[in-house]
Amino acid sequence: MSSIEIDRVSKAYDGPLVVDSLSLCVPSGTVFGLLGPSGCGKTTTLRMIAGLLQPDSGDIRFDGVSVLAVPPERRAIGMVFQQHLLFPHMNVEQNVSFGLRMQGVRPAASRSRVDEALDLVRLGGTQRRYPAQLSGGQQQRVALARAVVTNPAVLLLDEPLSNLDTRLREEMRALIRSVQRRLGITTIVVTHDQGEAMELSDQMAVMFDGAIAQVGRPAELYARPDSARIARFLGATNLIPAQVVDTTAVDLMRIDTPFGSLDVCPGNSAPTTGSPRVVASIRCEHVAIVDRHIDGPTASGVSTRDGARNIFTGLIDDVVVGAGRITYAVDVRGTRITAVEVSDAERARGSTVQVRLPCDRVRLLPFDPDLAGR
Amino acid sequence: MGAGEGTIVIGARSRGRGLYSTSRGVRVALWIVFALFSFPFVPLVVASFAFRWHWPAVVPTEWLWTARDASTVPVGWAYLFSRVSRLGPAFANTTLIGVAVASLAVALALPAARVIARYDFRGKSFFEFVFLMPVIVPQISIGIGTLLLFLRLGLVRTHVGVILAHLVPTLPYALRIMTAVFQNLDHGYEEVAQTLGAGRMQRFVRVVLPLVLPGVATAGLFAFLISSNVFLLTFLVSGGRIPTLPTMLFSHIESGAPLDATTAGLVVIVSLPGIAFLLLTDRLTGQRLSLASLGAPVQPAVGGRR
Ligand SMILES: Nc1ncnc2c1ncn2[C@@H]1O[C@H](COP(=O)(O)OP(=O)(O)OP(=O)(O)O)[C@@H](O)[C@H]1O
Ligand SMILES: [Mg+2]
Repeated sequence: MSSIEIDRVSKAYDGPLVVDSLSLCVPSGTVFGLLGPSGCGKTTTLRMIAGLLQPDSGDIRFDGVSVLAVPPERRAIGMVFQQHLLFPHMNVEQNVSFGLRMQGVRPAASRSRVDEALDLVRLGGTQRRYPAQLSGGQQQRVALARAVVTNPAVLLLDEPLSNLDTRLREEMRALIRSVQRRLGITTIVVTHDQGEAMELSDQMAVMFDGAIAQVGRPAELYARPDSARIARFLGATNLIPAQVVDTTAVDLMRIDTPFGSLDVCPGNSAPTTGSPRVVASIRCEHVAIVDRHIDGPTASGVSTRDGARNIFTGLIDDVVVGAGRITYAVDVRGTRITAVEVSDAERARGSTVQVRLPCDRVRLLPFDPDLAGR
Repeated sequence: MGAGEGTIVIGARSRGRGLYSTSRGVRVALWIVFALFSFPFVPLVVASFAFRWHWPAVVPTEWLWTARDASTVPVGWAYLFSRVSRLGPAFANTTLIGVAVASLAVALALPAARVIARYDFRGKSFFEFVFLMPVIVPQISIGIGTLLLFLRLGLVRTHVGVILAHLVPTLPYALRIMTAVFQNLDHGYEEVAQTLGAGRMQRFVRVVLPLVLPGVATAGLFAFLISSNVFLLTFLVSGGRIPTLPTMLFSHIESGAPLDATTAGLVVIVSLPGIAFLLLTDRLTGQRLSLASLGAPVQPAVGGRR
């Protein structure tokens, strides 16, 4: 219900900057996912938005108005903390109704709203229980109910689903989305689970070392990362050090890799520094595996023109069977290529196969000495 | 008593079905501890009814009621409960001063402990040392110093003077206990309350206070116990004019009756206010007075407190 703008905010605790000139903009009524490795400053950022921490420099605005001088209790926010922090001396109903009582809502009116919020998180009937009598996941859901029951303008969620099992987690994601849509609460959700961020958010940002590395729609970020680090953070990918050799062709670019040359669609490269040294990135699930004796990729129904390119012979090194998907490590002339197939038919370890790296799936990224070759 | 060291469980009463039920072994151990603690009281109580009890007799050779006519003046309980003994005023003074000291000590220790536990400031360790001084310095030095000061302020021989003097030995303990309590209290609870719209006062009343209540009761209890045992300070500052149970006991011993029935009875009575206060605080907080339980979520009184 209100837009959030963070304008070049920096924060240090005692030593180096933990948040370094961070800027982002969350349009009113949308969900923004903040994704990043542990310790990158996500919680710190959230606490500054909540007002629990004062930035060293920069500005934070709700609906264009600076809130730096507004104390947390008057910012109209709801927050679910990483450690859900239910009041231990209050039962579930008293916990959830706390915010309403602070707003001066009458007990009778508050009771029905509490019941509604608890039903929403599938915890109807637990009103009389104390936090110590709830499981970790139940406590987390009570914390969520407590945060949304007051209809805040801004909802800040710090890894709200980390204690839940897979099924409940999916259910709660759907629930957060529906609550958010119905109430139109501008939401920032912090997570280090990329799947969660992608499913929940309209926009998301990847954060490293206190700064935003890239912002965009989830699918866009996933398909078009700007750097090898982002590509690797957002899901499994093959990162191959490469050298651009030929840019003369209009429709295709040729790069040299340790296992041979690759053709790449030129539109699919990150804004590079212009250096010919690059990292070629291809997602594991985009690597196609073809049995050697079935001759030609035509068998897998890909158009011949593209399909005939970028095919290499390799040896299956390792097989990991997952739920409905199988991960293969294929040794291609000394380079390990990881491929994921959605299938039940397991290929034998040690068998010779062909891998195909589709031209339009290979993305060229700036060279990164730390990550190339992994 | 170090900060957050060990568990001080006071008046742990079993309260219906808890989350954990006590095993038989634990109960046996509890009874053994109980026996050890109450052991010194048994001969005292017996002695308070004895007219003559010489070593090595296991029980008194002559009881009070069999020797009622042997003594011209009332002794033992008869004496204590007669108007001559002035036990009533002493008991009232002790309780009154104790409650006042306990309340004051807690009220002063609460904000100070919060600051010490929560913030780092220059000279913090110096302040902590100063706050602990009264425990280290001999009471006679404190007593004389206080007396000199109070003489000028006109506080000598007043209840206010005695109460203020009692703060000197009690405040350090209260401060110590409350600091441990605040160190164990997660600041996050206040932050959650703040994001839910609670102002400074509401956060304190609705969140902080209930969470530190067991600690407050413990600190108050300690202050009360210390206050009801102080002899020297009371004696000096009151100039002997405000009788309390300890001063009464001392003057009785001084009068040359080391352990007769009256002294024994007096000693039993001296320990009563503390026991009463313990039961009261336990009832008031409605839960176990345990310092260690404060950091972890406080276990609710299962079954509710009605
Ligand atoms: N109160 C504090 N005092 C000093 N340093 C702190 C404090 N809180 C956090 N930090 C440091 O600031 C950095 C960022 O912390 P922050 O809690 O924002 O990380 P995060 O991204 O939320 O990590 P996680 O995913 O593990 O929760 C970390 O290096 C952390 O050690
Ligand atoms: Mg965090």
